[in-house]
Amino acid sequence: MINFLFKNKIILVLVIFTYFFIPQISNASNVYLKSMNSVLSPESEFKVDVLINSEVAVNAVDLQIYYPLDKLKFLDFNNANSIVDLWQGGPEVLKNGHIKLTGAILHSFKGNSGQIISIMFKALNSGNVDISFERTDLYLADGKGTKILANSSSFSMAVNESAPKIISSIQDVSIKDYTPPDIFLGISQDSFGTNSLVVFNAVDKESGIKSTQIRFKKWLIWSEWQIAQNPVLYPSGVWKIQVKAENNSNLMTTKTLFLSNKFFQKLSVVIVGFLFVFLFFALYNKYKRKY
Amino acid sequence: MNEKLQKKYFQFFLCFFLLILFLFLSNKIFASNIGIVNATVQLAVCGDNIKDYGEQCDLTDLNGKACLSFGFDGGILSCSFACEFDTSSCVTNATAFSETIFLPTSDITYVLPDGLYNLNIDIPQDFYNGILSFFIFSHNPIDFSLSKPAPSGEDFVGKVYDLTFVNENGDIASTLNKTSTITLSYNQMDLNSIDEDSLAPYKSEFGNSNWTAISSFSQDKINKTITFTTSDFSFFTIMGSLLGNNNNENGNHSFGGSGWSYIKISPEEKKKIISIADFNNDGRVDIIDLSILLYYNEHPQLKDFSRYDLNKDGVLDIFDISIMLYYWQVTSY
Repeated sequence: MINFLFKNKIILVLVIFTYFFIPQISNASNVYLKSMNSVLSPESEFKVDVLINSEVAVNAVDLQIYYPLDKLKFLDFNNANSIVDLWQGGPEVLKNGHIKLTGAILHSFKGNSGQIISIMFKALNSGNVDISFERTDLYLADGKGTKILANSSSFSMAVNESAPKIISSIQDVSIKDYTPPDIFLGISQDSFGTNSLVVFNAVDKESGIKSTQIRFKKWLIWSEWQIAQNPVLYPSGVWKIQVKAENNSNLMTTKTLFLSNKFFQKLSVVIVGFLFVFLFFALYNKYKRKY
Repeated sequence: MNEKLQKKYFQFFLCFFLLILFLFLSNKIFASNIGIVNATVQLAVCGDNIKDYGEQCDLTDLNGKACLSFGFDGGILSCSFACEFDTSSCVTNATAFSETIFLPTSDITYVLPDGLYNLNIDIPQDFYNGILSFFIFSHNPIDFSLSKPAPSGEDFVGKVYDLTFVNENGDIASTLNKTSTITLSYNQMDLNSIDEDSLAPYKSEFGNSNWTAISSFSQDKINKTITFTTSDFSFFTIMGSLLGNNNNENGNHSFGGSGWSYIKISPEEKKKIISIADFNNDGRVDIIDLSILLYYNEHPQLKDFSRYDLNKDGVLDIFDISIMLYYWQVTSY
């Protein structure tokens, strides 16, 4: 009898464990890699899409991908049609063949074949090549930030001398993009009112954003363009900010933010300074004439 | 008062008023210049790097004093433009080791284990003709982000050690008769963002904000240590190049780039940010908090979202998400 009750307790514990914890570990989401080319020759350039299927709504992704440095050379990213709206530090190539993809999805994603990013590689040496996921953390859009581990599958391909050499698949020539990127640009104070941040987001669903750059005007001359990632700490004394985004079809959009209060503050300084100099010379001349 | 004199007075007051108005309107822009003007006045007697009579110190000449001399555990003592001690960067919470050494006749080894990092120092015998108290202070590098920042493109690895010998008069003995061997450790976690091949020991003098690389050292990549010798004691640490700045053969690839991304904040600022943006109360700002914010950004009608409205403008939008990304970034170092 005791044995029977004990067994029942174990079963009950297992059921509770399964109910509460298993859904956190195994889940209905998977991330995978897809490419049109699975056999190609050395020096070929090819594109690998990073995709997600998810039956649950997710709003943040934190992935890390590994590629063998001796077999592949990383060329570029393309975020055309990406479900990720804002990247933490941008999609980044780390040391030793690691690629970090951490970003936010403003309108949570649930569905199939969600494009996270495309990665362009160049095949270097013959042999079998595996590109795999090292981290597959997804975050549920549940208001609690619940982390789930997505299932993942690696991508295998063969590089051999006899295969055709592919060069042109980097840019998907079938997609012609005639519209320049859209840029959102604004400025906001932080929670403490001590720092201001320049907030911007460049979007180009057709061909993807190639680069975003920012420059500032403190007085009359623009600073140099600098590659920038949203957000940027607002440099004090700046009255004009420009953000430039270029898409993968080499079309550019520039957006300017004019900070009128800062401008008039600067202008008043200039005017008062000018008046002061003028008065100084006027008084000096008067004094000179007198004596 | 005759008319001419009245005119003169008027002109004088007008000039004075305009000068005050000019300085007032340009408050922030010229604030630093005002400070320099004050300092310049004093430079005639103060600012030649030599402590004279009537001065507590003179820029880098700290008169043999350090934070220890003022009852602090460590940190950076500096000298103000008025040639007075500035203890604002001295700290009381450093991990410390201290011992008084009486005329040593044999080699001495000290080890300071401090969490994930170790410092090992071998001091030869006859290193000093007298009695010395030896202090090792281990600091979090963030304490130095303003007073002794890492050179551009470099970052601290592990701890910053303040090695100080104090003689019987309470003065700092910064140079010893013989060289000591110092071994600093680092760990695998540091190498997530730092290039291991670029690691090198660095040294910074008391009263100086610059770090100088020590060119002669040995690196043990298996035990993850860096060893060097010195007879001059001050601040020591390991630094290395950030991977973002010294990437693989492809360079730093990020379509947005990250040229502006590296911003350092003080521990107090970090605490303040965590108190505001750590929505799940796990002591840090990260992707979980971002995910929570994104949820309320998508469903602002669900409940009072003021907790998530980071810029307090009454709406949840891209500004709040960008502020969260900023907080995540600056608190992660």
